[in-house]
Amino acid sequence: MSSKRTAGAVVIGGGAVGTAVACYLAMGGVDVTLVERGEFAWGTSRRCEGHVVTYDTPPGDYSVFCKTGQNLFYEAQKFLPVDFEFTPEGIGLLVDDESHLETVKENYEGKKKEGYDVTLWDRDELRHREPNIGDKVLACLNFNNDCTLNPMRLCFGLAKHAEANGATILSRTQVTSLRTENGRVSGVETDKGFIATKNVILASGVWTPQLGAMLGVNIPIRPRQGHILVTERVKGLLSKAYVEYGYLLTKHGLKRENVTPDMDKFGVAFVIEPSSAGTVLVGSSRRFVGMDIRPHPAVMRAVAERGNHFFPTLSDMRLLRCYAGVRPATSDELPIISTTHVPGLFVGAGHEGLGISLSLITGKIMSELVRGETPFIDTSYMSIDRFGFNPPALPVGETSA
Amino acid sequence: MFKKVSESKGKTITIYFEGQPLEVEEGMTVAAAVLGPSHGWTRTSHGGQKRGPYCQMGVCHECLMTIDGVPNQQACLTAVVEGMQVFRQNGVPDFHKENSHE
Ligand SMILES: Cc1cc2nc3c(=O)[nH]c(=O)nc-3n(C[C@H](O)[C@H](O)[C@H](O)COP(=O)(O)OP(=O)(O)OC[C@H]3O[C@@H](n4cnc5c(N)ncnc54)[C@H](O)[C@@H]3O)c2cc1C
Ligand code: FES
Repeated sequence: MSSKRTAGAVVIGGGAVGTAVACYLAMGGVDVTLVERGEFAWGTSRRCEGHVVTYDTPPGDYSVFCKTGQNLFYEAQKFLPVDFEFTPEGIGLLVDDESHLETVKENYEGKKKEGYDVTLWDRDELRHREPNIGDKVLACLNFNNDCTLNPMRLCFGLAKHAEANGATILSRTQVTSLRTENGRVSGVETDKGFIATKNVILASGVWTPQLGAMLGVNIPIRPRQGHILVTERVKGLLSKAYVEYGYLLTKHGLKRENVTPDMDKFGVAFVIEPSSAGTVLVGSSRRFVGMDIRPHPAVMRAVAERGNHFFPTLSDMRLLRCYAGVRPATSDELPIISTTHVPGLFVGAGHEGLGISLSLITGKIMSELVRGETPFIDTSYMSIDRFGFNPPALPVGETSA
Repeated sequence: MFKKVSESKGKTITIYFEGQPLEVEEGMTVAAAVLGPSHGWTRTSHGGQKRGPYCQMGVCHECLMTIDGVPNQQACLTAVVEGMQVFRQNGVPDFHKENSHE
């Protein structure tokens, strides 16, 4: 890279969120440069499961937001230049506890009224569809529009499409500092040279706080670790992805009955996804242990035990490997999609367990914010202002060049 | 394609690779035993590419074969046994409930 460059906007971070932001900015006609210190999907986006979901958001604005975000994948599948193994087969919520059954049935009625495509399988129906399911599983609530995809391929596809629309893609380039002039963003210093720009979008997952701090913007995101086990390749173990109902309780940090102390301690809740290569991904856990991404045997064991409870046949299968990642978590489980008090500085981060699901909608909104437009869907409740850590963020339109 | 480093002094036994009898040295691994006749490839990936034993120590899972009717066996970790039936594995094996060892 030559030592001096200019750009209309610089996106920092090549995960699902950053590549999506770059892609929508480029499609919106902005001269954008995407900077990633590693390769695409270097951070959390290559250490996750890749579900695009609506099952875990209670009715309300945020639920509609997630649904709108999900619809964008059905569109992107048509224009992205990379097959990202998009599988719109729906995801099933497995219920193994009598006491949850009533809530789940109410949920079913409620979601149906909201226009969701949901179906409820009773025990027999579930066994008929999934012969390998464990005896203790009582029912399954299917969210038929939920989907799975390959997050790495998604990032590559978005970066490629951004490039095809005029974006400059700089991988292996680390941002070392951010510069301002007369109080507004003026450029990005990297280990490969300076990029002059009036707009910087921080889409750097768990690393966003460090970048924000460079301009005195306090961004409260904490790493929340999760483990995934990968099995040997098989066909016919299961026909689509499932999640246990208890996942919702774990996610919101609530106490669960009928789990071992380790499962409780590590926040283990069952998630399973067949990959197109034949391996099966089994997750997951949730705990705050800093930036640690080493797989831990005790957590792996707890995840495996939980897996055997729902699909006992898993105990006959070999594990090929395990990986852990850190979700970018905020204190209220909502992402930060926001302008800041520094003109030209934007934040698109903190999606915790929904960063893949909400990547495209974040990209679309960020492209609107940077171009000075009002977002097509209300995002005011995702403003960085809600934490009260910074001077008030600038109103839409005042941050753009 | 593959040459043995030293001549054996051990006992030989017969295994079957793709149905063909093969005289092999007792105590070797299936991976080593079939390297010659298999021309180095012992399975195909889900995309159809040819794959063969690589790490020879149980790590890479490239050497998966169907041994005595059981798929996904690591040939590099399995010792040859008289009369053993060894087959290349095409793609991803089926794993229906009937296959489980319950
Ligand atoms: C076990 C697990 C399971 C999950 N399952 C799902 C799921 O099923 N569905 C879902 O929607 N979400 C899931 N998630 C969450 C999802 O993975 C994250 O929310 C998402 O990946 C965050 O994407 P991101 O682009 O914000 O961050 P990242 O993917 O972490 O990208 C940030 C990028 O910024 C780069 N960067 C950082 N600092 C710099 C710098 N100074 N200069 C240049 N580049 C820099 C990093 O290298 C990195 O590539 C899961 C997460 C985990 C851990
Ligand atoms: S050759 Fe690597 S596992 Fe057998």
